[in-house]
Amino acid sequence: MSVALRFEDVTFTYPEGGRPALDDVALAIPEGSFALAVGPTGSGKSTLLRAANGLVPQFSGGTFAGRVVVEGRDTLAHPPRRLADVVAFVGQDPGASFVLDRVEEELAYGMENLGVDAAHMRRRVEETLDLLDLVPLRSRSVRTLSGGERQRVAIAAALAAGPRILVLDEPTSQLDPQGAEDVLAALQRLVHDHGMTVLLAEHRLERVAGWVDLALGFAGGRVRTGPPADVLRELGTGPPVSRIGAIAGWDPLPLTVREARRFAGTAPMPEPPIAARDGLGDPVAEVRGLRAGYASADAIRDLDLVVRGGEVVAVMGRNGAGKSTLLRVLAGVHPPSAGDVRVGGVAPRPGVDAALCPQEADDLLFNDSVEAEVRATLVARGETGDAGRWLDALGIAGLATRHPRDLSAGQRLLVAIAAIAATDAALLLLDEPTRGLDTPSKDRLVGFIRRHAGRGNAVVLATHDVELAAAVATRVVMLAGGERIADGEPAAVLGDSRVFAPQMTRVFGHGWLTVEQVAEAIA
Amino acid sequence: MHPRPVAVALLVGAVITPVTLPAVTGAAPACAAATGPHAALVIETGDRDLRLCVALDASSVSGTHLIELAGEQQHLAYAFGSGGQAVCRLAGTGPQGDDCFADYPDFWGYWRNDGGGWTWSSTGAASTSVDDGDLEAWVWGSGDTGSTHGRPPALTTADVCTAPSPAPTAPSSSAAPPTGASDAGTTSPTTTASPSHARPSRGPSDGPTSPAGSTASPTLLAAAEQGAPPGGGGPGAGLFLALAFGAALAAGGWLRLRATRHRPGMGGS
Amino acid sequence: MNARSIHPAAWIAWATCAGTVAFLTTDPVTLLLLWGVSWFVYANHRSDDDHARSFRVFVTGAVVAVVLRTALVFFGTISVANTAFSFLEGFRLGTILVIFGTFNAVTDPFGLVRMAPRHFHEPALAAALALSIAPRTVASVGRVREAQRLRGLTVRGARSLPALAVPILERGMEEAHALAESMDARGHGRGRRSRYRPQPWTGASSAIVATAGCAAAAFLSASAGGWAVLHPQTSPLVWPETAPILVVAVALLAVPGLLGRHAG
Repeated sequence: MSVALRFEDVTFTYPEGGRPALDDVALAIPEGSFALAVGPTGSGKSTLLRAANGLVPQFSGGTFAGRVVVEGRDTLAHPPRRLADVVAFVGQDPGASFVLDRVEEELAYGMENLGVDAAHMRRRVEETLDLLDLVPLRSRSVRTLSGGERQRVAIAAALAAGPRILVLDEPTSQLDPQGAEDVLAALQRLVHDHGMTVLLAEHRLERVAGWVDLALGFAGGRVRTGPPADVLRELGTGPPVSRIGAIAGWDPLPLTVREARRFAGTAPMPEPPIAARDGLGDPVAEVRGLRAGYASADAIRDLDLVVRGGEVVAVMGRNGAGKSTLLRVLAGVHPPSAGDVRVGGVAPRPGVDAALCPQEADDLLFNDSVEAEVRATLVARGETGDAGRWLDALGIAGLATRHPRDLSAGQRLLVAIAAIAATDAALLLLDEPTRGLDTPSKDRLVGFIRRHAGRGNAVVLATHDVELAAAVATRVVMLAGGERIADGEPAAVLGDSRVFAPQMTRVFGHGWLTVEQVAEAIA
Repeated sequence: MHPRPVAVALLVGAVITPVTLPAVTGAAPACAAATGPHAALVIETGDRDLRLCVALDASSVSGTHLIELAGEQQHLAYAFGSGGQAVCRLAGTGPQGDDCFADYPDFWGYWRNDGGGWTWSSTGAASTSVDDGDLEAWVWGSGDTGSTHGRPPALTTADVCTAPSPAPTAPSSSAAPPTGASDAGTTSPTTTASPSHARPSRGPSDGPTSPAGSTASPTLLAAAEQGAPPGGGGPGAGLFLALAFGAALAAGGWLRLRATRHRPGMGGS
Repeated sequence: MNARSIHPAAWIAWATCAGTVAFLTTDPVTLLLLWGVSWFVYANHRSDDDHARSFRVFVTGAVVAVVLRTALVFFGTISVANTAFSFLEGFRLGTILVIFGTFNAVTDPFGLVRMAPRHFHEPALAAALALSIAPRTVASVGRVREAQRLRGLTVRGARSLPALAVPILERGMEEAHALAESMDARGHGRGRRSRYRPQPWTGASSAIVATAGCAAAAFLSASAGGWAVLHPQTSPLVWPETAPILVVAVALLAVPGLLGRHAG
């Protein structure tokens, strides 16, 4: 079988210097593989993905040693546009790649550049619109699309160009679980039926581990390839089923719920733990009869909600259900069209009564160092306290002097959360706080949220990340079409859902939410 | 987008224009006395010659200010262009508007005489200095340099500024031009002047030179200077038409903006 | 696609003709009418909020240009005539800016790039990126302002702007860089191109080219033939005489506002 992508002794350092982002990397990905790049944030995954089509080093600069050969072409000998017929790339920020205004034109753009004839283009565009469920959006302006829709359009645009190898950096980060599954299923079909090679980087391993047949494990710029189970075991990471499998000593290491269930049936399980109901504090936020939205449509219809001190509320639902809008209303930056919202008894003042970390966390960052970011918030509050306290709370004290722009996406997200948390508002709002976060960072975030709520504050987070909700939420609220369709204990709400159930629930049954719970029970 | 910027612009325009009403035929001061510093201004339009003695209001003035003084004292009709830097019209000759070279190859040639004969001035009239006793001339015609452009007649300041009356007398009564290089129209009254001239042969001059001069001429001349506005219909028609269109545009645009204000916003995630 | 939508080349023709008209005259009535025409066209064709806001920025910039140019009179003799002259010069400059702002607000610069012949792809791309900087920066400012609000930092006009100006510009440049990168990676400038759905040349486009051309021709004729006062006299100051024919010519430039609604 021929090789789609080969790295020969590649060492690369970014122009800013520091340690190499890729350190003596040698690997070969056979054609027709569905490959996963996995590893901690900042370990070189994005860099390697961008080296596959020559963006590294041709657009990034820096010192590059070694050779990358993609579909037989040396990336140093060809500018990225000369590789566009064989390799297509989808970056972490899909909106950054849009050239044209309308969705269907955007899909055709790559083919236009390749000189594909018009009839062929029309067919391919129609097929790709169908494949990614974009037909109703075909004439829309890309600027009016939501994050999830944009991500699907970016993937579609890359696919429409008909590459031999498709490289994607966190392609499901903004998609709800069902959307993510649809995309991955489409990609797998292309791999199996058309021999396309797919290489993707992903942190939410529970979504992808079952689809891939090859894994690239990253650690400090070094890469090891192998079967997914081996690589994950070596890295000590993986989806919840793998982690519990490692703890329980299951062999071969399960990667999917199905594989895990074969082992689970063998061990007798005690009753699932009942969530300890600590006394909850006074209401921190109250919403009554809320209606809010945009000029053409309401995103939230007639919603009532009370959040008390000590609660961690996960707001979930598919893309477009109104989660972000609700958070913005609670933060005081989106005026309701009807109804009442109070935080701490008053109409919320952003940054004072409630603090929101938006989906585009990068918009928050404008200082030269991580520490300065946190200090800017403190200064705005009139505080002269130490920024270090907040950096420690999120475990990023080691990044204090670094420039935010030099950090990886996940690290930047943590910095943004620290900057927001430094407002010390009673209500902390997080919109999709797990983009780019690897497992250790996510654990740190979970710890921070728990401590913050433990002090009597309230935390509301909007998320697609089922495992995060399972780990940290004391309450789950499901939205659909702007209305609340479920509200209660995580075990109950998530357990009942086919789409939103965490892996532990699927394997061990109702009431089991996290690896820690199960590990304790079977120990 | 609200109509405010356009409304402000219209308002500003509406305020500025009446404020800057022309002072074309402002009351002229009495003719300057013969005493005090004065300079001579010679204007050759091709149809007429003018010899004006102008009293200076300072020991030294610029060439353009000399023309302004002549306008005040002798009702010389003039118009400057390029923001007051160049001479466009004198005594009814020359292009309308701000572009003094609109009638190129014809334009006003600037000559100066400091006592040693006429020299072609390469400096603009706004930057030259006219002192007591100086002689300045403007000749309408073509020719880009002093060697090709029409020359003024040989004259001295005394020829023009014969005391006590500041009025230019008929050139024939002054000393005959020393050199033969007299331009056409210096002595013989060229009565091919525009029919609006009330005085046929008395001598080419503008304005009421003596109390006996017909008083009808200044206003007639002044009116003639302005000339019929081109394009027909006078300043009013164009302006009213523009106001009507402007109002229609403003209204149409504002209505359209209101209609499209409620457009689909960015979808949430 | 709306059969009445306007081909990008027609917009280029319109902007060129309107710009020519503005360039040829300092008559304040004509120029003011051009502002009205530009705004009318914008109101009927603005593409989205980003472009709408960038139009506002251009209008503000035009007003600033007028004020600054008028203020230059302080460097010379101050008189009513000189002030009027300075103002008219500034007004003309501002009008050209407003026309350009309208053009920027109603066209998609990258749609224009695709029309460029092969060898002009690089400069065309650079131009498109430059054209997109205005709406992009305006959008950035909006997002950054809101993000700072979330932290409790009030971004109030002049004071906080210096602190944010650099990051906003940096971000704008990064975005432009990311876009250029993405375009290259998707094969831009490879060579042989095809068109997915070439923008059809519509009747509306022809009408616009024809009327705009007539407007420019009228003013060119007036300039060459001298049959109208295109530069009103400022010294001494007179009421400007605007030829009615030229008023009609300027009104022709408003035709795009009446034709070809954008779809969607």
